[in-house]
Amino acid sequence: MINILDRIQKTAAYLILISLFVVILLTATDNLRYDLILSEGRLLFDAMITTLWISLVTLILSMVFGFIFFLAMRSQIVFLKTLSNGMKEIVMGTPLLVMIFLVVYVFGIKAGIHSKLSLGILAMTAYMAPYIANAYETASAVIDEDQYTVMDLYHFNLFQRYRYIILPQMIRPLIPSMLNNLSSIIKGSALLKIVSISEVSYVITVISNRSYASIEGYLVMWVMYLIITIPLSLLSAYLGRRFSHAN
Amino acid sequence: MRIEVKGLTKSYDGKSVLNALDLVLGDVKVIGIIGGSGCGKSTLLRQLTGIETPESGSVKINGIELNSENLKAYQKRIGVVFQKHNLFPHLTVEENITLILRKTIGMSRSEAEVRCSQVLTEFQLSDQRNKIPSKISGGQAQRASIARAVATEPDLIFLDEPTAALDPILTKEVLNSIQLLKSDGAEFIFVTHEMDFLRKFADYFIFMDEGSIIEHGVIEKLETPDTKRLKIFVRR
Repeated sequence: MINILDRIQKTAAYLILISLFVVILLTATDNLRYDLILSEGRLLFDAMITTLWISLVTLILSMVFGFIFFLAMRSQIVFLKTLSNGMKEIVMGTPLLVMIFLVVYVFGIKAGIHSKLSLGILAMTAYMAPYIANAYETASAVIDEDQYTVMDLYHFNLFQRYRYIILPQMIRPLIPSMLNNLSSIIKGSALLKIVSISEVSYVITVISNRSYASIEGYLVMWVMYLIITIPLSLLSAYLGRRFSHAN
Repeated sequence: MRIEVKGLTKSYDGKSVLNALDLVLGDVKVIGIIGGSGCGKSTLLRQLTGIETPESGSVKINGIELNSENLKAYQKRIGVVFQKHNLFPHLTVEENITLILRKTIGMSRSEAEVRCSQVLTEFQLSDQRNKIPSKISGGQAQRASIARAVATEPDLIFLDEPTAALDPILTKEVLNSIQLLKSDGAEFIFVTHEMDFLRKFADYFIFMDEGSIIEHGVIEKLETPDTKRLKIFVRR
């Protein structure tokens, strides 16, 4: 009985949300002209692919640099620990927009790197690495003190610790968290439009400026991001539930 | 085994746990450390294993004084069984043993598998070899932990209240495995607060209270304690 009531409540909530969403899409302004945006289907599709691959590359690089960050945060060397924690605080307190400007227009110019795409990805990676390092930190909490005692007793070196004991146990709790981070990267990538990278946000801005349909542009952009992020969020929740049941 | 402890001191958060212990023992095979909760017996065991370092004082086992230079070599020659089984939860029973043999002892994969099969047969765990610790009983997991400690063919085995986390039926299983160690002539030191456990396996006892060694002697001495505190503990 409780189950049926729960289901009815869930269905009602979803219906209200979907209705609200549709109402916003249909009544945002008078004379909505979605056709002006959607007529550029090919451009939109390419932009979506660009957003996805930029986000995936950023996630992979963030996972690598985040891991180095994570190791430094856990280091016994006070200098490394302090340096990484200090950097973490600075990066996490910096808006992504500022980070993109700093990397593209300050670091990029000083380093003589002209590829805005590479610099954009680098900026996103620098921004995400501490968040990913935090995700590693949380995932590593599954390894209890007793396991470290055994590793100490048998003198596992750093590589053996991570290769055989720590990383294999971190993967499960890490997957849902990484999907959530991918979702954040995808949304964050919208800011790359300021350096003219042809991802979803930039392409839609160009189309809507050309056709004077900026409200429709933002609404289409909203839908496009949701098409990617909602399945990711559902998958993350599903995997999280599955792993917690398995544990 | 020969043990020489001099002025061994340890404290946690300013609270003294071991108060300048002194102890000299020669040619003893099985030692049981007894005492009530919080008396410092597990801390003493951890000091003897080198898992923890003392604040002051020294520990000499079989003539070798434990220090940072020889700790690794010493710990390669000992086995430790903890209160909880402390098996790696993502590895099977077999992997838990072979990983240590391959990475610590440097055995090849095939040598490690042969040695693992021997100990699993000895401890009647062959049918559990491919299961992860959460899929076997607490008693089986603790026996697997003993098998892991024994697999490296250590000179000395330490057991820290190996039955404390188990119910009476599972305790019996583990005691049978410890009996096996005794029958094989292994030298071991164990911590317990159970007199039956002590009487069954130990040749020698060390009784501790409030971070100090109150009394120690051959196991028969338990029947005629010198101190009032041991008398009370024995009669509990």
